[in-house]
Amino acid sequence: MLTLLSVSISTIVLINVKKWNWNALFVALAMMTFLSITTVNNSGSASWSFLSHSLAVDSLSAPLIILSCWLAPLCFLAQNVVKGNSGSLQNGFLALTCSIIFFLLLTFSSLNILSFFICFEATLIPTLVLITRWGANVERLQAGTYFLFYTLFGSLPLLVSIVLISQTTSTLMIPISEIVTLQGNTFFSINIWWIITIVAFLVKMPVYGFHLWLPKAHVEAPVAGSMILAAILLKLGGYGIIRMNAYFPDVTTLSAILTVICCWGALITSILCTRQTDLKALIAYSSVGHMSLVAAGTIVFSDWTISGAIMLMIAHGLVSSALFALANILYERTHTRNIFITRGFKMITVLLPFWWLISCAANLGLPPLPNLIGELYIITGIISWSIFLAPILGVATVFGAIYSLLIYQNTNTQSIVLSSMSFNEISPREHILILFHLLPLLSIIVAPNSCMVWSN
Amino acid sequence: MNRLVNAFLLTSLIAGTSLVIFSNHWFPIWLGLELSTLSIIPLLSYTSQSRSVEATLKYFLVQAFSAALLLNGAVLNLWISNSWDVNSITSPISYFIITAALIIKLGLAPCHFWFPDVLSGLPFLSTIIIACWQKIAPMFLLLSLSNLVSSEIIIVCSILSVLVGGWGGLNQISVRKILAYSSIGHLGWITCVAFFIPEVSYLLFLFYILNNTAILLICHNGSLYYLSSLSKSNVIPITAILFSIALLSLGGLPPLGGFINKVIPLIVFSLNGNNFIIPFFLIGSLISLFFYIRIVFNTSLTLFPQHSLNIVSFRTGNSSLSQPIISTLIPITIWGLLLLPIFFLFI
Repeated sequence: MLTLLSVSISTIVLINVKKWNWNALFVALAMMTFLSITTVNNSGSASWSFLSHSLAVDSLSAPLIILSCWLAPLCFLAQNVVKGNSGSLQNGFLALTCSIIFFLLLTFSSLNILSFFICFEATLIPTLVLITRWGANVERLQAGTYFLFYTLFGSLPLLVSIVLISQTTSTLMIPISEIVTLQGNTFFSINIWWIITIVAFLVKMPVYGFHLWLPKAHVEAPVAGSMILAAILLKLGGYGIIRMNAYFPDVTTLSAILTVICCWGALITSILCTRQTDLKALIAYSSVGHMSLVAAGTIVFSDWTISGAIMLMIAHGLVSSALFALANILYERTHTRNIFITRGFKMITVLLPFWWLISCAANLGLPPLPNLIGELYIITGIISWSIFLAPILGVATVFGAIYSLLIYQNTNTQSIVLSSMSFNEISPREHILILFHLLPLLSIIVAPNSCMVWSN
Repeated sequence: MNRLVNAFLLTSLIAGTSLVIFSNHWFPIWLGLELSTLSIIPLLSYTSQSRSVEATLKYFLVQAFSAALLLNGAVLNLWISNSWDVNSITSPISYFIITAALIIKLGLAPCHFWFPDVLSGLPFLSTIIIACWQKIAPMFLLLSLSNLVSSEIIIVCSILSVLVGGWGGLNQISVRKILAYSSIGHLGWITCVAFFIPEVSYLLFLFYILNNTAILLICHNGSLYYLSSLSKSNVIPITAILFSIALLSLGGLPPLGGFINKVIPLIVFSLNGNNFIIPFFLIGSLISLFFYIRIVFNTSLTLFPQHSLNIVSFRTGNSSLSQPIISTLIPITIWGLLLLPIFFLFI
């Protein structure tokens, strides 16, 4: 683990390579990805490996670490337009992305809840700078403000909760979190304690009530920012809930209410997706819907739902990132994200509709792609918890299929707008970008145990 | 001003503050406070701008009044407890009068009204003296007094300060006023810890002073007096980035050093079971983060369209004395979080 971290922090040096800094960083991060794949745990039980004093990897962190390392070189592939900037601005972009990856690695492998929190917050500042500095519209300032303040509004109570946990249990180690018991005092009952712990992750995921920052941030962010945001930063919320739920085993009423809110949120955002006009906002709302489902699964906290949540997190990370990269491929050429204008590209692009088809099919949950497996596990677990959520989740899945197919049909099979007929060819860089998003999905189909093991 | 006079006034300023810190008798403490006030009056008012003279006069009136109040409280304590000793404060009335005087001197709410007004009239180097150095003596007194008599007036004033510091800075366009309100807010965090563990307050106060000095020196370098001049400044480009980092550190974002100023008070409050006051501090710090973000956006994250005549080279006009000081102070904001274990010596 220490090898991985030291490699990731030393890749920042490579921004000084004269002409080949992007390529050198790409190769270094690819090597880091290969290093990170060794962390995967196929033994079928949740155990901590790569143990050191304050860093370790278990079967929950390993797929997320691999996902973060995997997406770093893909971000460099996607963000081509920055190469038109001056040298120091390019270096700034590269350094920011590398620092986000470094803090993500620290977050997923930290054994101490306070260091998890510090690295969780540390990813905020580089993402904020990415959104506001390299974004394109004037609304990016408001988007950055929304992003920062929504997340901080949730995470400052989380800091209070961590401090309280350290006071009452005098330890902050994650591996022994199942055997400590928290006694709330009279004013500050266990329910309020659970709420202030969970809100940070609910805002980060985001679930429906606290989701307002996500469409703004995604629409205004550059493509690398969108990719990192969709793929990894949302998964920090799911990871946090799974870790912190071990401290609160008997909060039943509030968790029931929250599960129902998350399921309804998935339904509502799926319906909202069918009425969006901005392509990136559509994909952002679909992210909200999927992650609301993950949140519901993690709050129910049974074996099946947690396994499904982890699987859906990984699969959604890859597919959402691929969809944002695809949307950006079109945006770079037509400079619009309006779905009434970006349509009908099956006529001019040759291989791109195939990538659109696979990504949209994965988004709607087509077997055997791992999105389905995750959704199936979560829905089965939630229905076994309460049968009344079955129609809600069913309709949410149906609407998910509707808008995913809408995305595919609108961008590919409709009649093309004549002004977008002048179109640069899709370069091999972009083909490789989408291909490497979708290839790991195939590997997860073959080895689902790598992303699903969790038994507490 | 004449170099010798400048040196003399600065020396007497340092002597005044040292007199406050090192005395056990109330009279030299009052003397030191008055000496530091009197010695900066010429330093602040030796200028052609009438706004600075006005600010100096307001500052002098406030400080003289509060020093007289302090002496009044000390004499009252002499009458009650028959001793001039600093450690002999036992009665609540004399404690209250002395604490009220110190709160006026520090600029905590509800006695904060003079502070943004004074600070926005002075050039940045004088601002450093008023906002950073002049707070050492009253803060020292407040912390040593709270060792003896713990009274909840500090908690009330600090909660008010945090909220005032947050809401007051929202509608400002003058950078000095923004930094004044941020100073009020931070002093609220620091003095509330004084109610529980005063030694920790020293540590937080030191962090805050170093961070604030770095920011004020960078503002002095680039003459960043108003929000509109933030994007047109002719600082060295790396200084713009470090300025943003220092401001975010002042806002308390991890992993920067200013996070210590947030996490240690939270640990101290929960250690003593006082969880009720925490939401006020969180609200105040979130609101004040908003205007820090506004400054950060204006400085380095947006590029306003500029005519080529406006782009001044950064190789001219930079005060060369403050650059090494800035370079020494900035690492606190970046690596300061590694100093967190020092706190655990004090529990």
